[in-house]
Amino acid sequence: MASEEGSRSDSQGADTSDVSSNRHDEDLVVQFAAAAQPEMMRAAEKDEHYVGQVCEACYDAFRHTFGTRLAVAYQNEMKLAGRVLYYLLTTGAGLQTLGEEYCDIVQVAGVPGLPATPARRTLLVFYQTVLPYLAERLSARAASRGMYLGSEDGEDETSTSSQTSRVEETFGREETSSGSSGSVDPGNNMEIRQRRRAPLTWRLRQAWMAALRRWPQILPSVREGLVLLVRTHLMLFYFEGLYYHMGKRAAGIRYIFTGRPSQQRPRYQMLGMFLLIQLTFVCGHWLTRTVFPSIASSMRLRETNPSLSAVGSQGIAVIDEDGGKVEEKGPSRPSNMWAESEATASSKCPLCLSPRQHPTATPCGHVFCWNCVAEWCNEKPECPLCRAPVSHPELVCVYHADF
Amino acid sequence: MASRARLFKEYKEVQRDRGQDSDIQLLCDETNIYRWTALIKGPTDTPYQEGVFQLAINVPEQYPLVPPQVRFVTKIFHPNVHFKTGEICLDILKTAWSPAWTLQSVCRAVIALLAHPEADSPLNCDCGNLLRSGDHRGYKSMALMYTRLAAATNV
Ligand SMILES: [Zn+2]
Ligand SMILES: [Zn+2]
Repeated sequence: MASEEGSRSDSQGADTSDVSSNRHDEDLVVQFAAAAQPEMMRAAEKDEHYVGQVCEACYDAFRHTFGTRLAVAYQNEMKLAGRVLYYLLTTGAGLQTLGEEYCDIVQVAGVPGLPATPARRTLLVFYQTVLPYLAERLSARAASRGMYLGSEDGEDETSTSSQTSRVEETFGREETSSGSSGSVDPGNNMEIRQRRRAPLTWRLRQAWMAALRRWPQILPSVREGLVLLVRTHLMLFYFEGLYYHMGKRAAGIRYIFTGRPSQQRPRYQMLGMFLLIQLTFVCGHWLTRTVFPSIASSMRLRETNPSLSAVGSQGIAVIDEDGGKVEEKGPSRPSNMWAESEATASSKCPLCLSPRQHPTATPCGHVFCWNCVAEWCNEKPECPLCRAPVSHPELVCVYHADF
Repeated sequence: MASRARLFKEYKEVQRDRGQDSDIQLLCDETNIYRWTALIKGPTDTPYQEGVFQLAINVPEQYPLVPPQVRFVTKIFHPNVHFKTGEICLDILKTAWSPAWTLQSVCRAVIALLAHPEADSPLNCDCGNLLRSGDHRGYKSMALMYTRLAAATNV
């Protein structure tokens, strides 16, 4: 963009004259260089700082007006309000943000280097504020909804006492809903009735349900993908130094530097190199997993459980555990899951809050899982419930008691 | 014992018992199960009774072998709570921790602490001195003022 001068330079000069009047005095036809990475990053950091302050102010105002309870319930919305406010008042109004002003950089749009149009700026504000919020919100809602459906599935499973693993089951379900009419669960009369009434809407609903049901499971891979995307974007930024935020890339808004070009400004190709290497490794790993499906399937069997519980999407992992619990007790007790958990409340370990594994008694008569109490005794040799002294050799695994 | 599995259990129990214990409201961060927020009602017959106090709970990875980190977000005038940082001086959150405590019961312990201030181990020296010198009226009016200022429920 440094090559061409002419018509755009005066318009640019006119635009930036209010921003850097001292430069403007020297000569009217100014050619500004593109902003370097350090300035953009510093500006972004500054902006984050100020956005944080605005958000805090919003939160405080809300809390004083509506009380703490509501404020906590709506704190994400307050954050969004703060962000929107800050960016609307700066970028939206066609001004520099505080961070940009601090670093002497100005937003320009596209290759010609003209100031960004209002439409573009609105788009940028939207990308930077509302979009992430909406995505997070939808995902959270889908995850909790899927969790709920998942737990319903779990109950189904126990009532029909099918021994198929959960993963298989969900995949099967997805096929029935995406494939033609498919077979419906024999026990589910209501669904059949609904289907007769409105086949199309029902099928759409079913597909949507299947998507929801799977969402908690695919959420981790979506997150992973997003992280990769962000890394790739950062790598590109380190190499070409144009767009620090993905929103800016999407809106096509870049920066020029209007300050005094005094010192040699560093470049970050090296960091980009490292990121590239890392991304290559990750992609290679992913390819080996997907290209050889036989390895993939065997690995997935081993991986599903830890990866699910490692995400923080509550439902499936818990249900898995409970499903495991039911299987372990044997199919002779096909009762309702909740009723069962109530009935076995007395045999719960107070440390892991799950049914006791290898019940172990302390000298004071309290019973825990072996693992739970042994681990705690390494930490502190006393009973977690009554604080009576317990030493490791005194723990007794009660194999032959009936509880 | 895996901290995550146990926190899931606690989360499930909180969801199930929601509304039973109206003095404590436990909320888990939607994206991070190691971060919780609790809203506790001040106990009756104390200067805190009109207030709702927000606690921030950070659960370490080794939980429940080590206690969760709990601090007041809402300003509170209490001898065992640091006025600036909200840090709580409560034995079960430090040396007397036992893994049989849950986040719910920890919140209950904090409420009990509000009802029974311990002036001999003060984090808020001004407040501790008021109590130790026997100026209960002074303590009550200060605590009441800060409750109204920072924790009043104007809903
Ligand atoms: Zn246990
Ligand atoms: Zn005991």
